[in-house]
Amino acid sequence: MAGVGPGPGWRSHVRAELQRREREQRGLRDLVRTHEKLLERLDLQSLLAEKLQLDTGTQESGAALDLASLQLQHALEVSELQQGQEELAQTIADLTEALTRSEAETREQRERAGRCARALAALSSRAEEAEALRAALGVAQEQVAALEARWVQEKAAEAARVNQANAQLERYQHQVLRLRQKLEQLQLAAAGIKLGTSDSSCSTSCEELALGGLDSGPQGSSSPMRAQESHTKTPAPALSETLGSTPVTP
Amino acid sequence: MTDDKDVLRDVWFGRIPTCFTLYQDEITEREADPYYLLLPRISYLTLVTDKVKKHFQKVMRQEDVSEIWFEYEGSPLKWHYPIGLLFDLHASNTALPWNITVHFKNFPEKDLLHCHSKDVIEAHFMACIKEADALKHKSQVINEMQKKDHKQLWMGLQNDKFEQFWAINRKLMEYIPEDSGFRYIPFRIYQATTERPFIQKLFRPVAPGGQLHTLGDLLKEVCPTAITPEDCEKTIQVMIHGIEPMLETPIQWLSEHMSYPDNFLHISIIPRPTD
Repeated sequence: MAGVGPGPGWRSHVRAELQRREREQRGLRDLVRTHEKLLERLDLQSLLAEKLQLDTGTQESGAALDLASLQLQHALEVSELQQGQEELAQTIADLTEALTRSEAETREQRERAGRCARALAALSSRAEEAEALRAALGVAQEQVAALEARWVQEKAAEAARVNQANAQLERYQHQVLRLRQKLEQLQLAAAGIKLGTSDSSCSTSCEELALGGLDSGPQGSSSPMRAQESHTKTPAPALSETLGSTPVTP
Repeated sequence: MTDDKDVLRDVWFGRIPTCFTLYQDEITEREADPYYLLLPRISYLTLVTDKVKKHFQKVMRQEDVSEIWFEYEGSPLKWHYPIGLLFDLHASNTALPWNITVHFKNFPEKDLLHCHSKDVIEAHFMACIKEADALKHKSQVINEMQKKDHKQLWMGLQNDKFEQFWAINRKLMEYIPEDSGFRYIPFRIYQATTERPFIQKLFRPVAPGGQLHTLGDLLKEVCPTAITPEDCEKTIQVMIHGIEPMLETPIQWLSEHMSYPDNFLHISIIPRPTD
């Protein structure tokens, strides 16, 4: 309903003005209403008088006229009562109709209220279910978060382990490379000594090489090598290259 | 809307004490007494003056009786305007009873429509209701009604049955709460001082910002001359059903509660009396 305005002043003003309008006209209105009724009564009286005169025919004696007048009076009163009765009957019919309409409206509103109550109950139970699901979702989300944290932790630990292993492997591989190099040097040195070589520079070189190989000992621990050697290494120089261009003859 | 049912009843049961006098040039067999009647503001002259017609026809010869028409101070009264509107426009500031002259001759063809039967009045009334609903609801409400509902509106007016009428009319006064009002307000503004029959334009009851438009807003937009500046003396009256609502009154509320049975707000702009 469009009842909200700047304030109730305009509404009470309309009411007051309508009542003032009615008050100012009330006297004249009642007068006109009375005049209308009297006019109707006069018309009815004339009609009945005509009817009675037709019935009785020519002029009558005084007593008969009195009787006719009395009859007219009674007929008028009966007519007015009948009119009043009709008006009351009409009012009753109108009120009955209004009552029936009100009852139908009340029934309709009760039904609507019932439907709303049922809908409300259904919505309430759905709301409760939604609430329970929400709670369960919360718990599940917490569990997921915990699992994720644990997974991240384990992944971090695993990464640390892998890194540690990789570092260890790299150390072993370095160690292997050095040992190989040393071995090759030793083999070279041995080959040189065997040959009884006159090349003093060669033997000196061999000695130096042998000394150098011995000096560069393993820096890591003595753990066993891993099977996988994934990183690339510089291959050991060929024996001929190490000894120079002089071929070795037994 | 049910909170202001007393306003609806006061509007419906408003009456105007009227004195009908036969035009002096009408030929009569004997002198015709004036006839006094309480005219319903919300009805139409030709719908409620059967007794007036019978009263004067009693003193006239049948051959001198043609279509009845009414006049006030020389102005023919349009029967298709509601009685309350005619009174507000022509005679609201004169003393009661309202003196109307009755004619049976020289029908003013240029000024008045013919009204040979009650069916003509019904057709006009229903056309107004349909036009009003076209403005308010794009005709959806009136078109959804059954023929018996349309008939009930007419019978309610004809027989002066408030409850019977409003049992159906309340549907024409409903709207979706989200809209805050009708699509457009059915209104007509009449000015006695101009040749123009009336002003009728599209006007929304709610501003784009959501504020309710008032009677003052309507007048500013479609009839600015009706608005007197604050510091000036008021020379004009804006009248609906014989009262002057405040300009702050929401136009939506006025449309719901002070429309005539044809669902139009008939507004009179008249000179303010100087006494």
